[in-house]
Amino acid sequence: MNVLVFNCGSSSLKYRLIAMPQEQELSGGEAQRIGPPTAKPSCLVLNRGLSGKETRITPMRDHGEALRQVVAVLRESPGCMPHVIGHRLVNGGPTITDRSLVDDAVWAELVACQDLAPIHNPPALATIQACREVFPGLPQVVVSDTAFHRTMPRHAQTYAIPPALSRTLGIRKYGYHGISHQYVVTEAARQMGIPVARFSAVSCHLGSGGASLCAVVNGQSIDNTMGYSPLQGLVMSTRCGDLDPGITLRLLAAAQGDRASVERQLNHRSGVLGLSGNSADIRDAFESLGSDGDADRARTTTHVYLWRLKKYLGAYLALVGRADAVIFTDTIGESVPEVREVVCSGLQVFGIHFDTRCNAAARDLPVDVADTDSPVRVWVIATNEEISIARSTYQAQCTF
Amino acid sequence: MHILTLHATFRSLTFHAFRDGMDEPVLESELPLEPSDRGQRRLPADLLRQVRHALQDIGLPGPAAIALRALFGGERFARPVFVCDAVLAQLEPLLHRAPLHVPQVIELVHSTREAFPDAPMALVFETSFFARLPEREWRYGLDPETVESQSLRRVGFQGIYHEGACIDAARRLGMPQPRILSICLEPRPELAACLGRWPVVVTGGTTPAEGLPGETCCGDLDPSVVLRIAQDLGGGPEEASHVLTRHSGLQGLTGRPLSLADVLTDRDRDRDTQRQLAREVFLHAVLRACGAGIAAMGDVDAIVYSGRYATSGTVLHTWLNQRLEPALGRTIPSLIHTRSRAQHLRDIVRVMAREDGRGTRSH
Repeated sequence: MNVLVFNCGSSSLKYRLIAMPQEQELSGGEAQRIGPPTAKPSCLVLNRGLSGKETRITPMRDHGEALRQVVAVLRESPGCMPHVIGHRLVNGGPTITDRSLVDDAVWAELVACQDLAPIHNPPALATIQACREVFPGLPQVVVSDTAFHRTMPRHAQTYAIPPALSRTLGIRKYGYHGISHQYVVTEAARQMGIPVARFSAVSCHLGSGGASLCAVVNGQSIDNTMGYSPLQGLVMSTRCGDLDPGITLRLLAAAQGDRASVERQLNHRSGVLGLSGNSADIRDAFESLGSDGDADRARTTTHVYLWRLKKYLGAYLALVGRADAVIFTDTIGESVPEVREVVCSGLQVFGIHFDTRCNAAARDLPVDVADTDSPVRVWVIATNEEISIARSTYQAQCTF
Repeated sequence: MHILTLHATFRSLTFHAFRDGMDEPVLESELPLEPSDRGQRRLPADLLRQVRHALQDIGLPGPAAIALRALFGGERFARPVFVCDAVLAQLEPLLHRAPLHVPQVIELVHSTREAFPDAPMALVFETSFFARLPEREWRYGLDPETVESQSLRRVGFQGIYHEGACIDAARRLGMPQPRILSICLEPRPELAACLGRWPVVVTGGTTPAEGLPGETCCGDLDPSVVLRIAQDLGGGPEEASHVLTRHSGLQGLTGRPLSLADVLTDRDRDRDTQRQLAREVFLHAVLRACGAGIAAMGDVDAIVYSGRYATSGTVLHTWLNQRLEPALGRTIPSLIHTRSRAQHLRDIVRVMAREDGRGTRSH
């Protein structure tokens, strides 16, 4: 069964055509710079396996047009048509708490929860709508990032505000990056030969943009650093993460009640970018540590970023209890050994004994960078959200 | 030397009178402030005269020194100080950072001076203990321009209890610099991770709203939730602040007045699911904060409980040890620090007076 997976960004559309259950990628690529004109033209970057990547310049005004370009590419190769389509949905709201076949009722729910992830959900819906037109009758499944966190206990989902207010405004902790957390947790359990239903860990999804930690007990999420929105938690590339409620209100008062401008500041001009003043990428701050001009500010940036991360790792190790592993994934988690070293150092009290040489040399993933006698293992695993979506979609199609 | 301690909240002024040589106060009383729906409450003009008369009624002469608890002293006041005109002038720039508390302190200083013109008066700041908080802990993930223009810096608000508890813990453990998780069980609870008397982590924020959920205060919230509430309630930041600090927390979750001790002891858990939820929300937050503090210090030697509900620490500690033992492979010793804030204030001002040579006249 060929599963066509879509992973939407605000101006991008990643796709993979994967033969299931053998998990063989038949085609893949990414439509980039979708939408209004930018400094560079819209293009389709195609994965060509051993031949590398092929880039095709083509205008794509919206995600519907991007989808049609992807379908045209698929039609160029025999046997590359999908039997089922899987879509990543960043926030499925309170009702879509698992993978769901898109029917009229689910569609209505998707429309209703667009605002919960205003950057990611609307383009995903546009892609689903376009798929309905291009592939009428083909089943479509949405796999939500929030679905993995449906197992969070009620007290972890609850903010300490009046319940009537939470109910009226739909406020609760959802958690994010669930597809990635689920994938790396499953993979780490497999690597360690532990059934995932008995596997406990702290999963650290450290992207170059968003980042979150997830506490996992017996294969299930019990807490996530992100909350109602992806703004809460760690210091991220442009997002502030945790903030005193009093500060948020002070900023709102200073902006004379302009909520949108405060949201822009906290989502797009804070975090690593706000701290460093010149780059949203924590790797740039590490590189600036040795420079003359920005060293002090870069040092502050890395210290604040790493400190928050370390505190959350300790917090989640306490929640998990007896952890089997700590897992690092995504761009920063996979490729910046300094982050893993600083965050894991001095945590012997939690059973983490880190092998700094192994960590520095980690290239071929997955790799365990813990010391031989470390009770808690430290894995670096490349995330693969598309495979995770394909698995969920395949399982859903077999079930429905 | 006889010492008077004063502690004002939005609702009341509490005072304690200590007779020389006695550890417990000989007189303590709570006087209500003039009611107001929100914001700062005014001190009645004769409030401090009532205090003076109360002292006279039990035959106590005027105090040799007075300790006045102040919630916020910014970075300027890293230590308690005796009040003088220069100190009052240095409080003025802090008005915008704590607009409800600092004016109340200034007003209280003037009233107290009028009622007790001969007694030296010390201001003891809750935030002084956190003056050495490392930058990586006090700084938020915001640009420096916003941080500086709005003075957005994390501090703690239970420093008097934390300091007393940490000194006591070091003495009882016989260690010069133990790694302490100090949990202050007050209506606005707070956890600090301290290396000896040096705090490295604190759950409080720029305001007391951040951190552990309190009796009426929300604790940690997604900033998007705050903005959503501010917009959807329709009253803007002020109304949202009122809801999040006065009608949230444990009482907000249960919908009725109760104390942190009520929630921790949880006597009727089977009958009240909302109370059970409030308890679990609080415990979840405390457990996370403990883990964060242990990671920050690299280990922990003891957990010390202080505050008016310090004795509820025994219940909390049993639960925490059950949860932390699987992660740490051992249990953590606990200490209950039962000295009151007033006793700490008395101790502080007594030391200050001796060092300064003030208040040594006999009464």
